[in-house]
Amino acid sequence: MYKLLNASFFRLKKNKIFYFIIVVSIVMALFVLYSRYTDELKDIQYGFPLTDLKTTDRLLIDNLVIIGFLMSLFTSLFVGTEYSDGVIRNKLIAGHSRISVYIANFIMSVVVGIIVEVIYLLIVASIGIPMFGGIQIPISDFLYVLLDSFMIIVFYAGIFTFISLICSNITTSTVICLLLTLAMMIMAILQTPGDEILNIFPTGQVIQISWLSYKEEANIQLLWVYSLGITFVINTIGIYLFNRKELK
Amino acid sequence: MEYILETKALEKKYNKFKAIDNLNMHIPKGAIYGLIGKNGAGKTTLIRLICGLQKPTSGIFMMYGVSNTDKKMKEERKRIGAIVETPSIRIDATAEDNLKEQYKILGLPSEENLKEILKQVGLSNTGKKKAKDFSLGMKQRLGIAIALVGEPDFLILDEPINGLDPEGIIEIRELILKLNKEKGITFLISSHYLDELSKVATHYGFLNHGKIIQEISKQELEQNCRKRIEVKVNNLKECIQYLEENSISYEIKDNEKINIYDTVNISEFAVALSKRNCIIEEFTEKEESLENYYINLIGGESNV
Repeated sequence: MYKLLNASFFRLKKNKIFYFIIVVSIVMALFVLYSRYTDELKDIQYGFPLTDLKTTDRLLIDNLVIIGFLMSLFTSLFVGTEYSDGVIRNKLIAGHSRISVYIANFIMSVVVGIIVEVIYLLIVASIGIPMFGGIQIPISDFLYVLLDSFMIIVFYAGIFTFISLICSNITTSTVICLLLTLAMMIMAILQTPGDEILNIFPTGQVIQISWLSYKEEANIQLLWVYSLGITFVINTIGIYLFNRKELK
Repeated sequence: MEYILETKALEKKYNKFKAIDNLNMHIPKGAIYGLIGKNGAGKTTLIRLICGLQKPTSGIFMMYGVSNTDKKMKEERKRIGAIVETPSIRIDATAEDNLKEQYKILGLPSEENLKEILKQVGLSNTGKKKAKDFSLGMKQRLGIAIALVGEPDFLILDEPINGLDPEGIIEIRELILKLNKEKGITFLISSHYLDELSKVATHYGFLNHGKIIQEISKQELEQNCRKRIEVKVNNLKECIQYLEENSISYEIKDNEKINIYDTVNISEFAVALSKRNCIIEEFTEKEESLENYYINLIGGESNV
């Protein structure tokens, strides 16, 4: 497993999609900060109360809206290239088990998602907190939000690794991953607060986190448990199917 | 004889279709084993099974004496390198980076022989050129270079000269011969380019409808293919006695036929046999290429 991760990190260092999603995340962070700043200027100009403006803790979670798309793009292309270039064969011929190959790809997807998210958080926190103030919600809630956010990344990684390793065509898996993220997003938006579906989809969890503690229905103390459980189920099914897959 | 790879009653089914059917194969250590079969005969399927990309429906194979059902097989796989259908290379990386990744996949701490491998396959001057800009021959050689990382003693090459130009074919041929001679690497090479295969192979396995219909060494094949006169007589014993008395090289083919490998004067031969109450019923001059041999073999098999 360590060898596979070592090889993947070597490849990651030169992976253009990885740098692309980091750039998108940085742009997103700067955009969020800039729009918050211009909103404040407008409110001052027109004499609106500044209390209605987004607090820094809300800015910190804005990246979750796009993280699914970024991870779907990265995972499907990074894993899909293993098939299209045939390197997955090299790994298996070298004696690595399919479980190791699957889990190593899953871990890569999680790590990249976390790197992207941490970069976003660091930029927004380091600029946002001095400019717009610190965390407004209770610290316990904020810690739950952070835990939920990272577990959403794990959740997304589980879904996209599954698709990318079960479907061996890179184009098909990329399209499926992107469309699925979009479909999950739309489905989550259409739900009403309290619907169970908001717990079992990462997009539904993102919506709940965006309510923070302003709505009672926000299930932030338990969302990470849902993510963990569902990711475990997805990975178990994925490993089972990947083990039975006839590779070419 | 020590075998690197043996298969016993190996079978692979896709639904009801048997791609590999009761296949028995033996690859001696140090051999260049040419796996010959037409498209769809099961060559690539067999290689996929050996490489662990697919699982056999039944039967086993032994690599270095270890069964595929044994957990130790994972370790033994580290001793092989393979190219299945197309070379497994990162097209957006340089030759050097491709090799570096393979070193990491194998968990090798040192990359000290990286330059040597690139030199061996003739890719030491590719610099920062990405594999996507390589010619087909260069990609094939890079695939072999990747397979050579970890210093395997068994290389499996599936159709290694497919799509190559004559120059590329010569390069691959010379590389295979060099690695076999200098490093003692055993090869399993599948191909339907018989002429080309005959220039490197030391052993052959003829595959048809998922079965090995014959395994034969190069010497045996040359013996079978060399120029000869096939004679059908009504008294084989007398014919043999005449050939022995005259020190003429021959081989008994069956109860009625005999192959004569030396030059004989046909008239004198016929008269001499006639005096021994031996009549020549058929007399055919034969010389087979590997291609003819294969066609006859497949034809014979199809007629069974």
